[in-house]
Amino acid sequence: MGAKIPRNFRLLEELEKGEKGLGADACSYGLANGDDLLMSDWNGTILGPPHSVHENRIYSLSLHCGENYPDVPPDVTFVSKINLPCVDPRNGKVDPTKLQCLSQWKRDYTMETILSELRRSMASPANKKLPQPPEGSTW
Amino acid sequence: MADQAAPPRAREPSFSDDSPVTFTVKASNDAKYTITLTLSTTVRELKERLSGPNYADLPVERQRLIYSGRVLKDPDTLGSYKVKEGNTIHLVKGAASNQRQNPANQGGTASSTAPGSSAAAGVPTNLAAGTGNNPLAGLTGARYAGHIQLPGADMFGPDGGMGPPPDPEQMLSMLENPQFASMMNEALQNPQVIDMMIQQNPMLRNMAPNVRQMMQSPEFRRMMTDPDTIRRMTQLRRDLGMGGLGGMGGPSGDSSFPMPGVTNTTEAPRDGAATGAGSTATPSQTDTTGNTQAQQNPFASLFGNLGDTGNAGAPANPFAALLNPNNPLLNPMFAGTTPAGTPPPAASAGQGTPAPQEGQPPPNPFAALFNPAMFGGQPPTNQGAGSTTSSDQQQSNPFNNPFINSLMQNPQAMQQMMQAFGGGAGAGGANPFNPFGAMGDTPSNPPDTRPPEERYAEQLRQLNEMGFYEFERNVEALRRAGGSVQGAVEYLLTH
Repeated sequence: MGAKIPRNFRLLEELEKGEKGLGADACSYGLANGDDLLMSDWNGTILGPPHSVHENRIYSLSLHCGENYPDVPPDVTFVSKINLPCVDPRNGKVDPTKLQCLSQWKRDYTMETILSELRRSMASPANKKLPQPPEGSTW
Repeated sequence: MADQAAPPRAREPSFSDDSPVTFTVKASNDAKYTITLTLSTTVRELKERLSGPNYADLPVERQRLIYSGRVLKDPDTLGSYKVKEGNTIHLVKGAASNQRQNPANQGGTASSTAPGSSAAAGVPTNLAAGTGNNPLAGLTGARYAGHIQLPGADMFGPDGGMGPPPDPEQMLSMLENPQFASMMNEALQNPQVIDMMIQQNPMLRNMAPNVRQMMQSPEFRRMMTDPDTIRRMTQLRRDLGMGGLGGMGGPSGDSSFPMPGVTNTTEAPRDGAATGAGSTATPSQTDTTGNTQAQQNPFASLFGNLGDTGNAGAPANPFAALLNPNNPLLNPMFAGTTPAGTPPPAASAGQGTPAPQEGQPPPNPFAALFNPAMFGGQPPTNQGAGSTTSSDQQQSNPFNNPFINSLMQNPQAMQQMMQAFGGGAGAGGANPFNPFGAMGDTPSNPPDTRPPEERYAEQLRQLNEMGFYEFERNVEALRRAGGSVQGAVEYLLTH
């Protein structure tokens, strides 16, 4: 382990950042269950980026940080239906091979990194005009 | 055991529900509101509080609150989301309903006719909060885009005012719009606005206390916002064949950024001077009957000594009247301000027209001062006036105001004023007496030549933080919103 920040410290750090709103404005995240001592299950939201079909939408996601987080990236799943190339159209799971920050995961990355990158991908010219399922529908 | 365990367990929910927590609500415009509520408060109640003017001032329906990755639902309590001391809830504007909410602005309509009545309001409600550096940003801000009762950008031409000015008819119709009048009125009532106008002009700064007093006088405001006055001035300008802008616009043709309508009528005089037949049915200039002249041109009487040639002389030298030997009182003052390189061609006309050009009527920044109204309080200058106009002047004299009189008769003040005007005109820059010019943003400010990324650095940073990454769009939005982040966001969201 050495000087690496242990999983729980890292997650506590992220939790505080998320709750205090210190991170990016357009993303928010927090523990799905406040009593979860292992801090495994998280909720995330992404505000749809402007000038895209996602504008004014709020997308919910769930993130699962396994035991080996942050050595391995969390599992990320969209709760709100969304049409994105990196999202499995059957269950909303984000395909780690199709999202760069997941496929080339680094220890320094956080859940905020993921949410921000997902948001950026929504706003990318290739994706911002993709037809989307009705707002509020979930998998 | 059970007895011991029960009480704390029973107490716990009530403890956590009734204890107040202090948390922060962070809005998309970087505004933060610190709120203390009990955990039993519902999300709906929190939104209601946030909808108040002290907070986000956003209707409940448009608020979306996000905390810890969850969208807060109205019926739930804060406790159920485990909001804790010092935490931050994000406030996001939901999809904009088409109804624009700006009741304050609509309510202001009545004040145009009774400037005094709205004076109590003090700060104009329609000046954007959050645009600290420029109190006028709100007036040009994107929040007005699409507001029905304000003139649309199309009235300034396809390029939103950078092109030729609106024709006088349009301008007048806009001036008659009570909405606009009340807006101007409110703006002029705002000491901040006045301060800014003064600050922006070094010349005005020197005489700041006086100017402020004058600009703040209801009479001045009324004059500047009264369509009749302005119509009269326009007409007068046309009759005189002057550079046309007069006091209302920049002294030179390069002030191509008209404030909504009022300022820039540059083109009209150029053409109109020759024909004298603008769209307001001005009798042509060849009309020499004294009577008609007196009606159409309240100044005619001031030029009385010149008789029929008065009209010819007038364009170049509206000062003739003031410099009339009849009025020795004022002469020394004007003499004192003669620009060095300008030999007075005739009757010391040089003062008013710092750089007279042959064949082209020089724009005259003094036209505003020569508003007929102002002379009502000037017995000396009126001596030569025929009785035909005096009644006219009496009626329409919003400036019959002791302050002006004292200003006019106080050589020092007058000199200051002349310098201010002369300087302004000579520089070809802003006319210090032109509040509309200042509103127009570009010509009156020292031109801000910094590149947008520098000028809007702070705003761009904020936009980036909010997730607006497209530089070009951000700059455009900021430009349209006059540098207001809030306005830019609204623009970005709606375009």
